[in-house]
Amino acid sequence: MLKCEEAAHYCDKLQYNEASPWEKFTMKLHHLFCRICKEHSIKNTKLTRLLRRSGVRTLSSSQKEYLKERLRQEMSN
Amino acid sequence: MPSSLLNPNQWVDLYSDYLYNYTIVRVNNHEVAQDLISETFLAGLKSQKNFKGEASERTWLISILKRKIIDHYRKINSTKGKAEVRMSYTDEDAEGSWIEERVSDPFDKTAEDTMENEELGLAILNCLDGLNERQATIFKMKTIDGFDTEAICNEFDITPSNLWVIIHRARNAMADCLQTNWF
Repeated sequence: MLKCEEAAHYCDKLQYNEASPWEKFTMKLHHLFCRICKEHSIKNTKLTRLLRRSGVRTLSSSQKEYLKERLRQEMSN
Repeated sequence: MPSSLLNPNQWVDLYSDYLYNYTIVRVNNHEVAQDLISETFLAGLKSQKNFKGEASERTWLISILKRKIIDHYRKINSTKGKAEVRMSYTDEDAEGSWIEERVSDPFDKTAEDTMENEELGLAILNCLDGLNERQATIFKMKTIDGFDTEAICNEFDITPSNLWVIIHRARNAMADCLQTNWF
């Protein structure tokens, strides 16, 4: 039987499509007997859905570097 | 907060993602958004002495950015010579209430969705502020930028197990934060 810690780890991997079919299966099986892990999984999946829906984006490190460089230049003037 | 407590060296790391998400939904062009953020930081730098400390540093930068966005649209409209207003009523002979038909316009719904998603995006970035810097960076790289595990492990010199522990903690903190502020 899978431990809660492992079930949570598989659940995290699943959010990034990195869980194997076996890991997914054992996690689901664990959820049949563990309400806390099942609730955690629902919450975790909801977070993934929200992150996708938001379309939140970040600037790349090179773009940030460009902004920093412009600020540095201005500060040195 | 007196202006001496402003820290322009940290602005890019602390606020650029937030400002970018705020801007991109308004100008819908990456290059323009980046230029506006750059101009905002430079304007902030020049008007440091005007910062009275009544608002947070980020709120103050957003107020500068808002003016930059308005200036951007003014410039576009003055280039075109006039503001562009697009309205089309498909069938001139159609009977019925014009207003009611406009209300059920599917594009209005899209605009609402866009606004809600923008608010959600900013709520997510607010929650990210609650994580420690390393955790936030790793979470962003893995979840938002889609870097693979190996690349992040190499970048931060950590094992995959360490990475998953960090991701697990970050996800729990994010879920709790959004539960309070969004769900």
